[in-house]
Amino acid sequence: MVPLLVSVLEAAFVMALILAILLVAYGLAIRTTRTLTRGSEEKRRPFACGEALRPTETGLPDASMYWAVWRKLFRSFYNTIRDKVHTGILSDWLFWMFIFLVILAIVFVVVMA
Amino acid sequence: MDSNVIAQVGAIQPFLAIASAFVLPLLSLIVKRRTAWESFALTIATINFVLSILLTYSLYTSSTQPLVYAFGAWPPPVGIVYELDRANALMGLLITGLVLAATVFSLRYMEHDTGVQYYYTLLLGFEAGMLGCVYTGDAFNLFVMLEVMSVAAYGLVAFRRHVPEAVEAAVKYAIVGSVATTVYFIALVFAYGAFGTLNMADLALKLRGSTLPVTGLPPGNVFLGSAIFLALTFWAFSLKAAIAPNHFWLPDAHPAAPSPISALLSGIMVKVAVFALMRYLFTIFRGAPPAVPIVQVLDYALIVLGVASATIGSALTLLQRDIKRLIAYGTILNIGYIAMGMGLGNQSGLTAALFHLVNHAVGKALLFMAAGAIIHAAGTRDFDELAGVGKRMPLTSAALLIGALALAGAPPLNGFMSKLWLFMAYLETGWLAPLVVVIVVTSVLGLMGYMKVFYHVYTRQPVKDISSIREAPGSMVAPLLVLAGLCILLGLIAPLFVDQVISPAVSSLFDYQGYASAAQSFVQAIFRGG
Repeated sequence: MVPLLVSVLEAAFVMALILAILLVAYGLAIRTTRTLTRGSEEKRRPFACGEALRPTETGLPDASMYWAVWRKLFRSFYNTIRDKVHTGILSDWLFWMFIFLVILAIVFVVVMA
Repeated sequence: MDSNVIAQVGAIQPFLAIASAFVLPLLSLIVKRRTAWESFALTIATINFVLSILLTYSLYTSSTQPLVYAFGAWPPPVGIVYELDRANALMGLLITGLVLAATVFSLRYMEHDTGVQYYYTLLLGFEAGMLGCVYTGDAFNLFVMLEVMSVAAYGLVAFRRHVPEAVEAAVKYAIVGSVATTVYFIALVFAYGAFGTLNMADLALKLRGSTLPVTGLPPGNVFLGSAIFLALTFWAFSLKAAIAPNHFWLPDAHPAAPSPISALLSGIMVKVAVFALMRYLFTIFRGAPPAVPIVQVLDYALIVLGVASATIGSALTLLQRDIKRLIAYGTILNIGYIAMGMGLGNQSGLTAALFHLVNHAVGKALLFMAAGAIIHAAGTRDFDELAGVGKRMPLTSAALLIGALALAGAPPLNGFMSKLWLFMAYLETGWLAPLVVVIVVTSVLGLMGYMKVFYHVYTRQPVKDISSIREAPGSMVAPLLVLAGLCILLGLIAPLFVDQVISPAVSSLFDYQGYASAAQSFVQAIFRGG
């Protein structure tokens, strides 16, 4: 078990080192960008088809922007799993739970047979 | 220490908690000071934790066989017994430790709420129910304690009854939970009809052609009775444990409760149901000739449902905008891992499952409490409004980061180590080894989800004035730091911890002979006048 712990610690150290390098690179990139855009407010304003928008008009929360790619990629999966299964309606939940109970019963009947 | 005294130490814990739960409302009629109610609850939680340490230490160091405590001195299978071994002692330690942490955290967290005497009453009742569920050696008493635990949980979810969301979540949770306990009750009817007993040791013996005195040979069809009992019990406890597709209630109920309660619901209550399944599947039914095909089916079911839970939980964490709802979906993900470990049905699978159960209990309690401290300071659960709040709360943010990394599986924290054990257990199996892909992919999704918490709370620029936000008070930060320290420690000493703590508990769960013979010896001693 000790070699395992050593391997894990080595992996943790390597990951921490990579993270530190990435953070330093990120910091440098931010510094450079700030130098380039100093004095300009333009980059901070949202645009749609060249028209300036107020932040409230964009209708896109920051949280959505962060995961937009992932959500777009698996849109159909999410549409099914969220809008058809996780509806928040009690009778829908009980329907799925009942289906599970029926499947379990069928499996047991088959096993006993 | 004398084994009778050790058994009494275990048996007194649920009794102390439930008796205190009845005393506290009466005390609040006489003493009108809030600090008195809080001190009372804190004292009981501390005593129970100390008793749990004593019980666990005694069982791990001196007693190799489970200890039996018969209520009212009625011997099994007639009377109700608690059967204490290393596995349920470990669960008891987790329960009492987390309840103590939640009680300390609640002192300031609940400072703006009224009626806290009832909050602590329900909390003590909740602790009694959970302890009773893991200690009991009687299938019907498990039903009773399950109800004690569940009723307290419904009340705690609805505690902030002025919040419509909390009331709705509690009502839905109560309906779904009641269906589960009713189904378990029906399962008990079939078990009693087939076996003529509900004592767990007696069930284990009857399945193997032996029996305890009084109840005699099984009056019904053991194979049919086992199949119906296990199918219904599996369904009921998979609902209580939030294993997909019986998980729907969890993301609504857990975030709606006050944060220390969310920590207990996600941290330990769902594990109590998992532990009950472990007791039935590994100690009582596994290896018994009539139950072999049934247990095998349930093993496969656990793997399939574990994969489904991990997939659904990890995918849905990414969509959440409510910090507590995201963490709640993480519970479904991790319960999936535990189910996958149990489904292997062998020593290494159960070791991984039990180790992950402990790690997830600690990590999830930490994460919910850290989120609670942030919500307490910011007054919102929405990520967009929480932006940058963590910068004003460095200690809480550090604890949040450790909890998030631990549950995401970053080395060398505890969550990584138990996932590694699970990974290795699957690699050992051969034909099930490709399922490690599920562990890896869902871990990556989990990492993205948990990092989303830290990204919003700490990294983002604030969207509103947060200058008035301060670090959480000491009584809220202290449990966070202790739990964060545990996440690091359990990761660093993982091989030693598994060897000295988890493996003996797993051996206890597999040891039906020890479990049954402890009850037999107890009955024989009583019949001899001992």
